[in-house]
Amino acid sequence: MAILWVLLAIFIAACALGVVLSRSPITSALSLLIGFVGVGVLYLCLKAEFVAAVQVLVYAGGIMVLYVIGVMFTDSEALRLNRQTHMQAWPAFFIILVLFAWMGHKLYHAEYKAVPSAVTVAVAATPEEEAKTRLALEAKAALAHDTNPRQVSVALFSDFLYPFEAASVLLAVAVLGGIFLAKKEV
Amino acid sequence: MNAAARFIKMVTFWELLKGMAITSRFVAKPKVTELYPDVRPVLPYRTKGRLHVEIETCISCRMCEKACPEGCIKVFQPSKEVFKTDKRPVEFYISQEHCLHCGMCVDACPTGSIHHSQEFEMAIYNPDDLLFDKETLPYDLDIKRFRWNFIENVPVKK
Amino acid sequence: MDFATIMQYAGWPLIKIVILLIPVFTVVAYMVWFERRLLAFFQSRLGPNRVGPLGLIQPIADGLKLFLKEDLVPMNSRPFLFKIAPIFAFFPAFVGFAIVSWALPWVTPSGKVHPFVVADVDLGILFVLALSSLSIFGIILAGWSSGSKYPLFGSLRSASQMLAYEVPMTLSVVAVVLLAGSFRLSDIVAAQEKLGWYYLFPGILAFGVYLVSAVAESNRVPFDLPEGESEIIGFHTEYSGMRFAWYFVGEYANVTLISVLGTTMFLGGYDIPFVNDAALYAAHPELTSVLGVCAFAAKAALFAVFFIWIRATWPRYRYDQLLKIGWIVLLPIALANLVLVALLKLWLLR
Repeated sequence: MAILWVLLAIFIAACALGVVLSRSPITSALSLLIGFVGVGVLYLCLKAEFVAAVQVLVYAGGIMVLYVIGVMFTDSEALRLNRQTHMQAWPAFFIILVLFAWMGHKLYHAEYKAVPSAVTVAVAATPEEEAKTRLALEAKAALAHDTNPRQVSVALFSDFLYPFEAASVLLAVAVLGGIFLAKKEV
Repeated sequence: MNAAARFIKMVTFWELLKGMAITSRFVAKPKVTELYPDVRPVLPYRTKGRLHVEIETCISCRMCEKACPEGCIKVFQPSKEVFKTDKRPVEFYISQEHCLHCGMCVDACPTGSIHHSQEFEMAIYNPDDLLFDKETLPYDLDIKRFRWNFIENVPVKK
Repeated sequence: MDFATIMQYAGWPLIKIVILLIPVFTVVAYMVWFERRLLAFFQSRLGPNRVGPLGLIQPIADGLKLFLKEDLVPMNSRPFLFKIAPIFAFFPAFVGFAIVSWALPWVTPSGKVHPFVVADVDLGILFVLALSSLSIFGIILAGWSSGSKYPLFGSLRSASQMLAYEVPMTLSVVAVVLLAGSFRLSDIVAAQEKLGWYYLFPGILAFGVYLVSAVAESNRVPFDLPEGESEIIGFHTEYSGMRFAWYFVGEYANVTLISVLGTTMFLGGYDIPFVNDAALYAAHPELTSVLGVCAFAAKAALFAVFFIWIRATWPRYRYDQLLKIGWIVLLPIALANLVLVALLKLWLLR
């Protein structure tokens, strides 16, 4: 599984680089598509089948189609001849470097919650602690029997309701902006 | 009432269903396709098929040869001595390769010896096979008789 | 790794795939023959009847002919994209058959259960939807890489049409999923038997939406604007030989898949009509499985006949009408149906 993960990671990174470095817009769009499918496979490896299916359905099937249609309407020859580097490239590079360093630092020092097992129940010192781990263990057992879509929907409508709604507000803003730009007279 | 009926028609896709009912009637109806090699087509009597010549009634007048715009008919008259008693041609060539099926030779023939037949399958592998002579020219008396009557506006006797 | 493990993960699925794909390929090939024959009957003709008895060898003859034709790649095209585009068109349709549950599982005397399905994943129908959303790239890439204007027009039409109709189709499927409480196709079949009349009303609305958008998704008459043979030849104008055949096969595989999925979701799948399946299954499990597959095939054939029938009857829609039907008529109906199903689920079927 680890080998598969590494191969997938390299593949997705290569696709992402292809998006950025390719001169022809349609090649960029296609490597983005393949990258999306690769991310879907990554989700499959993490046993998140629902998210994988939705990733392919929404990103690869829906959004990419719009991208590709947009690319088809643009003058691809003119885009290919233009050099697309400018003065912002180096500052952007440093900002990204700082961002990645920060993310790596956070990930390195992150506290991972240990997945409770029967052993942790046995070695638990106090009765309260034992009861707590037992509860977590039961929840994990229930999760294993639960179906994937149900887990996702429960998480969406309980723990992550605010981020979910915030994302929908963001999308609504984008839609309104699009209508505003596309309309000739407001 | 009218509006209600229109609404019901709209919801049930009445027009579309009516169209489907009409097409469904054609499934069981007899088909118009001709099964040509299995079932021979019945051709109209004036079909201008391959030329047939009745050598026995031919008088070697060469009218057909002169009438032919393509020059695909060639008639050889017998010698003068023979011609006095026997007017049949010594040789009669028709090249179906060049024949237009225009029917001018048929109009020109004074004895009605040359005429079109119902034969239409003339595809062959070798173009030389389309040159017919006295021996290979077929003849069908029934068709000739009918044709003659038809052209003279005489009804066919039963 | 011992032999049993290898068989479990690689051997049995592979055997199942082969057992499934041979009939599927045959059915897809004979769909073409069936469509041509039946369409001819609707039009007072006889259709192809020369090659073999009743013209039954016609698909094989056509396939051979296309296989032997020259593979032309236009000079103005993008060769790589041009060559890989047909794969996108036929591959999703064939993979979709993997999750279809064909009959009740067969239990051996030793108690081992053999389900009649290649992969009974709990995502089921969502998997098919995700894959079929990729098939649109086959059309877009073909149109774009051909380097010619008619394929480009065809693929643009097709792309907006498929985007417009994917949404109502997915929503109608979601209504069914909500009603059954599972993405798994065998559960959906079981839910239809369990819910009975409760399934009917939301089912009919979802069925209508599914039917219309399924026809539009597979680019068939009356929504065949991308291929509109009388005006633009379509996205596969520049294709010839085997690459064209992949598009052809893909289209018919898509029609077959849509028929099969529609049968599973709305017509009771492998449930034998007018027979108490559970009682029969308890008495003769093998017989029930065989009859179930037959019933399934018969119901799916009804779909196919319907598709051909409307092709013989209805004229093509205009382009604005087509998009209007998708966004203004079907989408609200599908959404309302979804709300209806949710309320039904909340109050009646707790």
